[in-house]
Amino acid sequence: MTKPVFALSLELDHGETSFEPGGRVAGVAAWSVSAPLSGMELRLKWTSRGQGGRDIKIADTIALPEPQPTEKRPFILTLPEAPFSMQGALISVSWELELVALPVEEKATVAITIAPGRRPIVLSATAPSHI
Amino acid sequence: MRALFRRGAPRARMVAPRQVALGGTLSVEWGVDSPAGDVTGVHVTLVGLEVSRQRLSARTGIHVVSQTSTFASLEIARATPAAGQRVAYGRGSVAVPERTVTSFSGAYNEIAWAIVVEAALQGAPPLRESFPITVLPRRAA
Repeated sequence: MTKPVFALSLELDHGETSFEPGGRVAGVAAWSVSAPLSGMELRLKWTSRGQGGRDIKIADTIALPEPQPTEKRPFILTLPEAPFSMQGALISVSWELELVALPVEEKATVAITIAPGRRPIVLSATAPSHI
Repeated sequence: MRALFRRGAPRARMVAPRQVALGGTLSVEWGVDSPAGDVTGVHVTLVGLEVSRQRLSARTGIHVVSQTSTFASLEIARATPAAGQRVAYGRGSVAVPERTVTSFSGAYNEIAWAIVVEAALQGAPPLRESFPITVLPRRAA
């Protein structure tokens, strides 16, 4: 039995991967799949990481209806205002845009930055001031 | 600890909005009630904290250990009440930086903001009370 082939790709316009909060992302989702598809989705998700574990939240899901086995589909989505991509002393936040083939959940992923000035916020530990 | 529970123990009071936006101004009214009149200094700050929680399994159950790191400590007010004064109060404000992080909370990780009132007490441990506040992105406010 031949193993199904999933070729998925996400290309963002101009190769841009850093965005202002609330900005718009445009690109093309492409796939070539040899197995039956029940759907394709674009997922925008963010992950906070710390010593204790990861919290993953899906900020937005865009269904790409009636996918053909091989297709290229342009998309535009509006990014949320927060949380910002950041690196702190204990935790970090990162964003990803995923193209997901259903029902098998095969994925193509692009890491993106969402922050003012298109640069992740860097937090450094500061000594609290006291009376 | 005993000072917290004794009759007439000093208490902090706060009138403040529940949320503030990045780049906005936070204005508060603070007060410290001290029946003994033993407050020698008050400091009010807007504090931003990173919080990382670890769940540790043990025979006695699951313990949650939290680590915190302060990334912002912005002075709102500082006062030196007159000796013997039972109630110290005042107003203050602070500009919330534009380039910092908004509040969020997950099972493991959190960005928490709070208005912290600290009062130095004569002959007793300082009073420290924290009032949570949500910091929002600029355009969401």
